[in-house]
Amino acid sequence: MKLLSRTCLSTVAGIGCAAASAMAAAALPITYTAFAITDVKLAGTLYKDAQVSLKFIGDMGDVKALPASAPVTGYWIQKGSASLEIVSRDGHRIKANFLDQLVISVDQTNGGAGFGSNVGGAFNPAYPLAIDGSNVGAFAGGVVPVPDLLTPGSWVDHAWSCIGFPVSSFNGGNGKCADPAAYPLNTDKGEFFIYQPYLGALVGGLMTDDYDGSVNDGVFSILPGAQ
Amino acid sequence: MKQVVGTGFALVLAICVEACAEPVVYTAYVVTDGQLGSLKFSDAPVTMTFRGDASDVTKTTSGGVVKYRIDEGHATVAVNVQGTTTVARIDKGQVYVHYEVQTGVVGFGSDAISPYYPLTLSCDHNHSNCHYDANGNAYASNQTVSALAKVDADPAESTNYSLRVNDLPQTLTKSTLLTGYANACFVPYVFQAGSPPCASPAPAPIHTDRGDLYLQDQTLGKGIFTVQVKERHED
Repeated sequence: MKLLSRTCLSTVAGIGCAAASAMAAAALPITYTAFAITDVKLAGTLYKDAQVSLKFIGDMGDVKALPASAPVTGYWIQKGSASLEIVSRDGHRIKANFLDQLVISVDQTNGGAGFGSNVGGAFNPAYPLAIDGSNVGAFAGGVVPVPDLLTPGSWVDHAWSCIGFPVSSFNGGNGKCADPAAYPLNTDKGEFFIYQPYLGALVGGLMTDDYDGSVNDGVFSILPGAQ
Repeated sequence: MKQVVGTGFALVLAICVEACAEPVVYTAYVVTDGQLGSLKFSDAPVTMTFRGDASDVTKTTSGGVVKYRIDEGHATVAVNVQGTTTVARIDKGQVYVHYEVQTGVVGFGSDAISPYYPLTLSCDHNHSNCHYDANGNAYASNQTVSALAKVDADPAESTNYSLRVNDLPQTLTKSTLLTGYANACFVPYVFQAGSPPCASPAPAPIHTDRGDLYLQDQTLGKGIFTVQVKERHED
């Protein structure tokens, strides 16, 4: 699998390499995880600065190229089961399973990957949790490849939990993420919300950068098999 | 007698404003490369943890830089290779935890090797451009550890960050969340296409109960450092 993906990455010519790989590797489970320290609310209880882990188990055969209408190139997987684990500051561990369908996607144009959703009737690539920045985009000369949602790997960069992303006011956005309060994600333990309290690149209270707008970091991993 | 006890309690409260005896856990989360015993790992989530007591944190000031440091405690390292985690206990005295507030450096140092090795976070991978003053010098400040240092140097910069960033404690004795560019390389990072970012391993290992640990980062990622002080619950 790894060799196949490496070959694809070295010969990619815009023909949907990951999708082609996925077809060849159908019915193979794959796991995506994301981790950050941030604020979340589950079933009405707010956990500040909790350790938050999200997990999505899908099948490689369901990894597809983003539609041609998308403003960026990349891949996504829209079928799979997702769960979460919260470890509160006082050590309590809470687990839940998402009832809503989450979506894993990677934006290879700008360098970002993570857990998205369709809250509010639109695809939100950075809610509940995605990471973006130079490490994900391999812009800084690193040897880590851009994620393709098939090749195992891990990345640490700016953590975003933002409805409406991208929001940069310098790029025509309104500079703010939508309040999650109106957009619950449903789990078997109740409604789940995740927040983004650590903001940077603010001018007049508005985020001016879709990387540095979050000064918190998170970890996104692609793992082989169902973990 | 009752009055003596009451006075003593008040005295303890006053002393404990800076740091009283409370369990504290320091944790760094990065993705990096290296070797633990016979286990070679690449692009792997690595978690380094140090458990101590907040009363053992020392504070010194040198050249206008406030430095917090704790040597007493138990450290572990956990390496996750494709979903399987290996945990090792780091031998006593091999690492300490420190935070240089104004230069924005936090993490795990080693007296035998380097204050920045095995693992620290800062405004960039080499700690080389972390120059903070109010004169408009260029420096990265897109991580909480560097944002706080920047605001320390120039309080007017606080408007660039949300209140939760500005309110983050800057000690090793209170719970906080510090993010930064990861340094897990003994030699300076090299940023040149075709060259490994971390050219050589450290001259000496960090000893653990699972063998020697070397970190030689090739991923150029960022990292998360937390201070977790056990919360006291009022009855």
